[in-house]
Amino acid sequence: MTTRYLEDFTVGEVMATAPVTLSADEIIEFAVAYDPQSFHTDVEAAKSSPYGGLIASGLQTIAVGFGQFIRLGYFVESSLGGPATDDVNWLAPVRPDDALHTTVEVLEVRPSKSKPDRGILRFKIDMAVDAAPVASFVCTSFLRRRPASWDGP
Amino acid sequence: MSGFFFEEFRVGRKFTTEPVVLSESEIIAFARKYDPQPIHTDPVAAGKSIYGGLIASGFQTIAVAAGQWLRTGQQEGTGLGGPGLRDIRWLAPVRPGVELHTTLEVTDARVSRSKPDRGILHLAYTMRNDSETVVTFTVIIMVKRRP
Repeated sequence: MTTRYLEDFTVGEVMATAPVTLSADEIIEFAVAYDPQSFHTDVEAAKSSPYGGLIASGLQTIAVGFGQFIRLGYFVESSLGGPATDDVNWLAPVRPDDALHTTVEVLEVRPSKSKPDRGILRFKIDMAVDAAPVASFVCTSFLRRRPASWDGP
Repeated sequence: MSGFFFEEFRVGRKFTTEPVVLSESEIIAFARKYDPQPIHTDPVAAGKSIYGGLIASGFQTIAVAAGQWLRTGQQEGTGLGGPGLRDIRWLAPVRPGVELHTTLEVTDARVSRSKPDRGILHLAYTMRNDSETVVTFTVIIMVKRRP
């Protein structure tokens, strides 16, 4: 878990994260709380839906993808919060026990003009199952710049 | 099926939802799984952060807003899922125990060209606490047309 400050990210770099699966129980638990639609909460009803079976809430899918990025540990000391997410696209259903592969590409690294201790990082999160895209979205975060006194490696 | 069909979601129509509160334990449980950062998982560490206390993951706040809309039942049986979200703006922190009020407005409504049995809606969400807007975003959803 190594913190990365704003200048430690490079436009175009792509970061891989650990694959993760959602069980039917996890899909249902999330949806009962946050997205109560029968194709997310009821295995039997989902069979007769347009999706032909239980699928994860898209809100859960993107939360999983963001969580896998956070687990890389880069934001531990550097994040100052995220003001925005844009262009959330759900491209295909996510079903129980699909192996979700999340990659993160840096789109923009921009030091703040008004606050010299920080800047803006924009990054695109792509999620796929068996190499077929299932979701993508673009996050904006405020990140600290490397402290001036820092003298490492 | 008790929800509205596409034809009832006219541009400019507004909807309110029941207020809801997130507890500290709900914020922590969500964040441990989906957004494990100390500002969302650790009240002590969060107290020393720039936020001065525990705040909800932004992904949880939009999910709560969506859930409150769905619980109105107004797209029950007519909603067909959605292709995406647009323009999520987290404007202020969401803290435990604070009542959250979500309202929606239909900002676009068009019939699908490829699937004439359904329409595509843009629902603009606004979630407020007692004094300010905490998040805004737009959900794109597909809804059945009246048969």
